[in-house]
Amino acid sequence: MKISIQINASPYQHQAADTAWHFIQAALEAGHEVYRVFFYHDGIFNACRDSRPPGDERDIVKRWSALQSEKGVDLVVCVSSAQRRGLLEKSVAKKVGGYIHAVADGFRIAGLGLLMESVIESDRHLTFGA
Amino acid sequence: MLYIVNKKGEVLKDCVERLTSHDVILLIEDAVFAAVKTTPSSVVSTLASDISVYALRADMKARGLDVQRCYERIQYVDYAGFVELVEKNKPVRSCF
Amino acid sequence: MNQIGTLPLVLDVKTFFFIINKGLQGSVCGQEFLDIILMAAAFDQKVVVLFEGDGVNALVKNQQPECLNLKNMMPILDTLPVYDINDVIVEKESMEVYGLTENELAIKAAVVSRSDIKKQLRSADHLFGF
Repeated sequence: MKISIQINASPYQHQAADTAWHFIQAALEAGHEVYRVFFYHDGIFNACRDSRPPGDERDIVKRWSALQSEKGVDLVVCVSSAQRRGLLEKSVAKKVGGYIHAVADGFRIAGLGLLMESVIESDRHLTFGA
Repeated sequence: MLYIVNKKGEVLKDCVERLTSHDVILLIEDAVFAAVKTTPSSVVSTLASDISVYALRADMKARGLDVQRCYERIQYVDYAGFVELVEKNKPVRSCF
Repeated sequence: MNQIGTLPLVLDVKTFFFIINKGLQGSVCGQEFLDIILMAAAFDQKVVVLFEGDGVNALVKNQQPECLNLKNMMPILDTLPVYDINDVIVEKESMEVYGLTENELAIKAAVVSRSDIKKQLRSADHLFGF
């Protein structure tokens, strides 16, 4: 089956991002397709490049980046949720004099249309929230 | 219909009140505490027998919850089983 | 069956239920949730908006979120029919919990029993919450 995932909660503050990640691993393992992971609300903080957890802890942001680079899963961060919370895409940051390296590798910033496309294309849509 | 619940309290109660015959409920994250036999008893123990109740094994293990302490009607799934529940049931409602 | 000369459908039409079961003022998530609803309608999906639990209070008249510099969501709810969203339903049991009657609601919504809502939910493709 094709699965669409939406993450509504920030990492570390809540287990949602962990549960989603483990679920995705199992789904891929079973041969399912994860069409897209869409980060919404405070979920956008999963894409913060400068997240630096202590060395002996799981690195949630890097784990997402690896999911994209190794498994090719599409990671999309909602542009309006992100801008509201201070996470700017490079070209926007340049324009407004903001921080241009905010978004971690493997994530792209886009609009809600990509969430809709993901949901319409998928057999199931799962939301993980706080 | 599959309900995925991630905490006890109002969230679980609101979900339980809306379950009907042949629904499936999966307890994840802090909702796994509802699988444990408690005094007074958890709302999970009041569910009709034609409702399937699952708990996510990893969340149980992480919290040191032994199956022996839980209601007999609870079934257990690992993440692969979680994926299977999602595949077998439609639609899916995430309650959080 | 397609007749000669008719255009094939480009997108699947699925049934989406958007469930509002909490107040719209407690976090910006309520406002961002309404954005998803409008986007779903823009993608020509069959959209049903359901108010239940504490969420029924989102429909009452005389909300003044401006006193806290919060955005008033009523103008957005008012415009749902403009987006062709005409299936707005409110759970009867939740209305009773709060002692609300239909004429206390600020917008037109069908009051439907929990069991009838459940029948509709079962045939939905995707359910959204926040």
